[in-house]
Amino acid sequence: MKNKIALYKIFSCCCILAFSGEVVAQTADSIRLLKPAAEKYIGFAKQKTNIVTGSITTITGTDTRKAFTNNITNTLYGRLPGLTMLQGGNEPGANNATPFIRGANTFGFNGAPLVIIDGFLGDYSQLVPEEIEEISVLKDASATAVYGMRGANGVLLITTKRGKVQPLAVNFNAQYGIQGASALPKFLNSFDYARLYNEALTNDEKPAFYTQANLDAYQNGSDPVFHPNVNWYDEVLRKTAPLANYNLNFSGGNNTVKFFAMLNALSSEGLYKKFGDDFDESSNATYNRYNFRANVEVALTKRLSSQINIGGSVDDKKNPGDLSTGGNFSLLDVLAPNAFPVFNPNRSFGGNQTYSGNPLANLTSTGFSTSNATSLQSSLRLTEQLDMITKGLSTSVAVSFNSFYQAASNKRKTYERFSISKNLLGDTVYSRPFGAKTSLSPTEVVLSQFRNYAVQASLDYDRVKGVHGLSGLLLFNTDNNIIDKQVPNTDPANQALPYKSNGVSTRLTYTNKEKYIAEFSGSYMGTENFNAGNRYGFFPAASLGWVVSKENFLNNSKLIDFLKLRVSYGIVGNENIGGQRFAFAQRYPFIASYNFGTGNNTVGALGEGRRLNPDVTWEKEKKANIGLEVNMVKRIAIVLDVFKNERYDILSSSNSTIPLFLGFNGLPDLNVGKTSTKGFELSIRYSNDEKKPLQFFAEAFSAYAKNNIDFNNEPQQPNTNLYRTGYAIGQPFGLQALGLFQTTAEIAASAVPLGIAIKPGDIKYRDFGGPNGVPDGIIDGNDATAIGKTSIPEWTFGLNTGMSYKGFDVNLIFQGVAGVSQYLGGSRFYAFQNNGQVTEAALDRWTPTNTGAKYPKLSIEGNQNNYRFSSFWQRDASFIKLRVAEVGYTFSNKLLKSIRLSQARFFVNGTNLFTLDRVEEGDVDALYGYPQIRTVSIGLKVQLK
Amino acid sequence: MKKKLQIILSICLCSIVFFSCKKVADFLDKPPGIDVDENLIFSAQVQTERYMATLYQYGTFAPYPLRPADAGFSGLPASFGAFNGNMNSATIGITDEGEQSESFSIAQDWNNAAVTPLNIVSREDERYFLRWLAIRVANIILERADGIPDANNDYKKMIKGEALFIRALSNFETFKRYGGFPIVNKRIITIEDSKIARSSVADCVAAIVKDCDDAIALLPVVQTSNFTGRAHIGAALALKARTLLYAASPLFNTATPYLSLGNAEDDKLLCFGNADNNRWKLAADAAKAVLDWSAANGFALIDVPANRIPVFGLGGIVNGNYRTSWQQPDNQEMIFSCKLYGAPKSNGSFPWQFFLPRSNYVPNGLGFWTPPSPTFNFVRKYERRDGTTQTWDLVNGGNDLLAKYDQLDARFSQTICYTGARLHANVTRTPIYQGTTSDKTAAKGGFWMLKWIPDAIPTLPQIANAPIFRVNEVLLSYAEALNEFSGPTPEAYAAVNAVRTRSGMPNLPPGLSKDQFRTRVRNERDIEMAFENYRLWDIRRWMIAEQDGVMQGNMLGLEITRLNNTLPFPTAFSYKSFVFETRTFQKRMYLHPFDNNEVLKGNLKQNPGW
Repeated sequence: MKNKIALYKIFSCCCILAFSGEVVAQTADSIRLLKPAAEKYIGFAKQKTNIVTGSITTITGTDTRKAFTNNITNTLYGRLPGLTMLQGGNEPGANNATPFIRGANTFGFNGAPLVIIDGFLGDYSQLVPEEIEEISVLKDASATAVYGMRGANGVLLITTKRGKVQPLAVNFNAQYGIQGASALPKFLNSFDYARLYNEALTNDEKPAFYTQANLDAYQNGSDPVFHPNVNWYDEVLRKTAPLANYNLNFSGGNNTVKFFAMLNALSSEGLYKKFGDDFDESSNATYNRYNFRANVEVALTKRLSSQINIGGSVDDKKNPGDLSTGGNFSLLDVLAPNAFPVFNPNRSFGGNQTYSGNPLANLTSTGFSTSNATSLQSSLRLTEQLDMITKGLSTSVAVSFNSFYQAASNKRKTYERFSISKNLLGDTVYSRPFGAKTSLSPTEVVLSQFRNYAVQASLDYDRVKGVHGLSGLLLFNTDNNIIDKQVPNTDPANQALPYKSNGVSTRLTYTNKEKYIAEFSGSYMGTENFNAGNRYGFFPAASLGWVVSKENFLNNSKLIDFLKLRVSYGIVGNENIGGQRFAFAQRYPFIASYNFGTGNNTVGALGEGRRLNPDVTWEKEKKANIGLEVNMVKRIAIVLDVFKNERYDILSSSNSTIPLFLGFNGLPDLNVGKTSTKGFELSIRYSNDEKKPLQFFAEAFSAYAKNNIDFNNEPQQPNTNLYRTGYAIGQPFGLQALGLFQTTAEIAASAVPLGIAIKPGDIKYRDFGGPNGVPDGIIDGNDATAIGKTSIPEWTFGLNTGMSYKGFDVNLIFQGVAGVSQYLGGSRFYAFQNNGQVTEAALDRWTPTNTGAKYPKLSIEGNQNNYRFSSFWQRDASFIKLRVAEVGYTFSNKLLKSIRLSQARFFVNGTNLFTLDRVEEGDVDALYGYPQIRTVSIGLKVQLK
Repeated sequence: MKKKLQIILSICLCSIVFFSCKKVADFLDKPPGIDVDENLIFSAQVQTERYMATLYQYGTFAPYPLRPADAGFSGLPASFGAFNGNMNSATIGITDEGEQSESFSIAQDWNNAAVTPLNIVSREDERYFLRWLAIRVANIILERADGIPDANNDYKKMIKGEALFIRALSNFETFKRYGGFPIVNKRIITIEDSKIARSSVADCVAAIVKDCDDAIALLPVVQTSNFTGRAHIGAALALKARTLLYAASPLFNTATPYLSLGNAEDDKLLCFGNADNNRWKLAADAAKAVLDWSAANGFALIDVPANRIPVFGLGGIVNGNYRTSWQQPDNQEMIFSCKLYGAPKSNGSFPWQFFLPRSNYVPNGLGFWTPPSPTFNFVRKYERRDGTTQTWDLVNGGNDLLAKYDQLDARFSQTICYTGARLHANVTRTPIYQGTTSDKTAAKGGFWMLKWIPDAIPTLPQIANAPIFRVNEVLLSYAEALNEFSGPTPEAYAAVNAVRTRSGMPNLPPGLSKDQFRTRVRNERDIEMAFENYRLWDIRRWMIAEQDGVMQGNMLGLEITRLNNTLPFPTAFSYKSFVFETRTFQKRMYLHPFDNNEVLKGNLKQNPGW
């Protein structure tokens, strides 16, 4: 959307005001110090940051709080180099963003990274920022090899907060904001709709539908009943809706017990009007979530300690009408402003046969739906120091139980709507009702469930003896995941079977004076989804590190404070390959029945199922990574990673090469696909002298990942432009638009689709070739070619900058993406299609007098030429967004002490404030459905000690 | 105390580790499911019977659309999405029999010659894939049948015969669409085995005939009533006869194909490469064998003399022998039929919703879509009941429409739902004329279909009768083949006349020339086998598609106007013919194109012109 300059100016003013006030020095939590954390979380352990040889980037939980949203996945945009988050939806409770680490990784079933919470598989979307200590992204083989056949897509490692040895600290945060749609589609009003409709009819060589009297009535609004002009978005959406979050947490501890406990309540309202207040049998759109966590460590004896982590959440979602809002928005996208009035003169709902409903009635008079989800993450770990055997040795055993369950309760009914007309006497005549009036009827459904059990046992060794440091890990992990999800091509009998895996992971790190580092890590792991002989695989990785700054020649350098070179190489797998469950076994499923005899006796039929593939196996990826970490002049930190990944054994369809006359009921997928990804991540951090009263920091990164399909077993194509090989994973293929036809002579001289009458103003496409690769003068599927970029950006950028002066602080976080395309499809963009609406874009339509138009000529008929998948409707979806702007003030100690607080900070926060992009037709992240949300909030954070 | 705790905890810790290790060995084994494997299928006759059901499910078909969900094909993988056909497989609208104007119908692509290798599967041949599945099932049965422990020899012979029959039937269905095809006569295991090229027409016909002959040697003479619907000798004989009839027809029985693939060798994929009149002899003999078998085993035309001319029952049900022949399942002239639809189906389900006009067009019609509308081109083929040609004024029309209808062959009122005719129990007077919802824009030909629609369908679910081989077809094939081989012999006359007689039509006039007899027997076939998915294939094998009004040129409909306002229904109508559509046919359409995806896999040579 066009940038919201006004809002931006206001914020600038706030910043200036903030710095002009009287302030007291105070370190605010928005200012990050240059010093990196002394230790980093790595797979199943922690390691000194200086000696880490894997490619790992980290964000703290506190940092994720900056973006104020009801879902933690939406806080990670532009925060971690190498992690690309794709916005999912915007509806509260259905807005998980999809993570990709270093791009799409695979054209196979799943390129999503593994998520590990406190050492175990989990779902992080239920967590809240306040309970998170760190989120780490593990990217290269060295970092992910311990996760064996699950690590190839990268790992999101999430660690929750723990108590420290400190006096009890009580923190209370409250944040309250208002959310609004950052952009709504711009549909034309009734007058323009009718005017353009007539024009479209004329184009179709049909008589006009609206008379001049109709058009006048629409224009002057004199007859809102028979000539309505309804902005349906305004009828059902409100401008703002509240969002609030309250968090209370305690942490503290001594040598025996350390604890962190938290309660969090989040309350969010949807953008629908408060229908529940006005209609007994509807409800307001709300989404509330309650989280708790208690992480307790107890030293049971001198050597034996235990750690219990319990976290959980309950969420409650309520919507008027249906639980999900997709249907509402697809109706809003087509419903013409003059279709019918919201209410008829007798207060019945307006409606007609063309449209499936009345949007207002859909929300007020079809009942309501609620869903409830509970999640639980729990683990118990016992650790025993085995110093008596050898110094530095310890062992630990852990069990974990996680569960997620979501069920919905729908109370639905239907309503009547009437279309009205005038008879000759001028009386209003009501049609017989569309739809029937019913009373509420309930249904209960389980939406999803997931639970897993896991057991881990490990031996850890960590010792420094003289110049030699040696640490080692040997870990046994077994887990059992019951996932109730529809696995493609699997019969129900196999769906409920748990997914299981066993594995042994190991890591051995040798350091010499913390200058030279050599590490070997790996995993031997198996899963039940593969044949007994092919069940286990070994996934090794090796890495080397050289802390150059420890060498004598850099020892006293004023320029270089720290310089580390690291390189890693290894093979990691991905077992989440999709395809058929237990594809190694030939199945003979029931395939319905046939009837024999004059009495038609039914005999159940058994048929050979999809052909088995006894050798089905996991995907593998060779990962190579070179990294450089430099800290310079005590102010600047640079991290550069360059990587190359080669994925192979991707499960690929063989339909394209095995002829059907073999008679297999489904051909086996084969592990033959290959892709490769190259790229880099560069991040630079600057912060000024921490002793100065004016603190400033800026952290910028740019990440690039470009993938390529090297082999995908595709069939021979009639035209070379149809081959997917050599293009990125998910590359769109469509017709290449060459603009609009201007004259009939031009049409006669050009390639056109068969059987469609093309007129000036229709889209012209490039004719690549016919079935034999020779241009054939016909536009059809053979003329498709690679157009634009994929929906996963090649480039991601982040800029996190801020400053503080005495008590004031300000923080801005920008996210940018480039090398990405979006497609404008469906009724929202295609004028009059499926009885649809018209947007402002159609004002610049082609007419004989507006030949330079951006929009094709109008037609009310299903136009099979103009709305084909083509570059005409594809947009460069690069953008820069101001994801976060926050201004805060931290109160002075003196003042606080008088009211027994150790810290208090007040802040104003804006989330998703503006976007700069090239898509005029809508918000680049929310081209369909529920609008993108912008939030402005105020918050208070206090700490008692 | 502390020590004790430590010991206890250590024991717990160790036992957890031990416990986990012990379970490791079998932890990852696939849990027992409900899976069935091939050995189980052939472990007992009762299990094999379920596999036989599969054979028939894949291998048989109806003359009207089978929707996969209704027909039970829910197990097909989505990757073969082609078989999604709703109304697709009905060929009525492709030919001059009817006009299928429903927007998503396949017929318009044929009428506009817009069928291509990219869309052929969804435009007619959704069963392309199913036939290969059927052949694989058949090959597996042939391979394993002898090993069923508890089955007796007769059973083993029978199921092998059935497998051969279904294999031959599937191959014939491929042959009639594509010409030469890859012959798959064993289970294919390796990819190398799958490199099979198309065989010549001669080899394919020979392979089908051989399978039929082998099946005849193994199958029972007839099936008991428990097994009705399963192949017997008669079915295999009928398939052989039909195969040889097609093989003898001009499309295949020629030295020069309709279009050349460029060399004589490749052209043998399209035709025999020589014209041999003796092929008609083989066809006639094969048809005679069916008739001999049927005479000996009680399969015969339904011919109750009293019902030859239809009885107009209460409310106007037109009941005659002909109606019985298509309405009553498993009747005496049914040699072999498809029994996918075993259970009675109500008017809202397939196939009925396809044939019934939707209520927008005919009040209480009960259908879901616009069914095919028979054309005036087709209706003009009906003779008068005295055997003479009906005269229609194509230029000026006339005011005597109902009188013209009244004069027609009794099969007209048992095939066509015309103005004022009874559609079914809920529509006793079908209003088809201008000013009603069945005007010339809806019922383009001026008619709706009556054939296939059971009269009681509005109230009572009905079993859909799905003939594959019937005696009447064999009689007409016999007459056709005899005439082509040796002119209109008395046997040829007798065969056609038997079909005419049972519907009250007079015998063909004696003394017809070979050409005249050919015209009459073809006309008889069009009328008798109307809407049974014969016409498209007959047009192609006779090579008459280019003739005006067949698959090319003007398609005529009737514009019908009522001449009075009599209640409950007008009693006089005028008619005027008009061209509702001009169709295009290209020579390459004499054979289907192979699906583009299959051609690209490298083994199939595409038919010419595609």
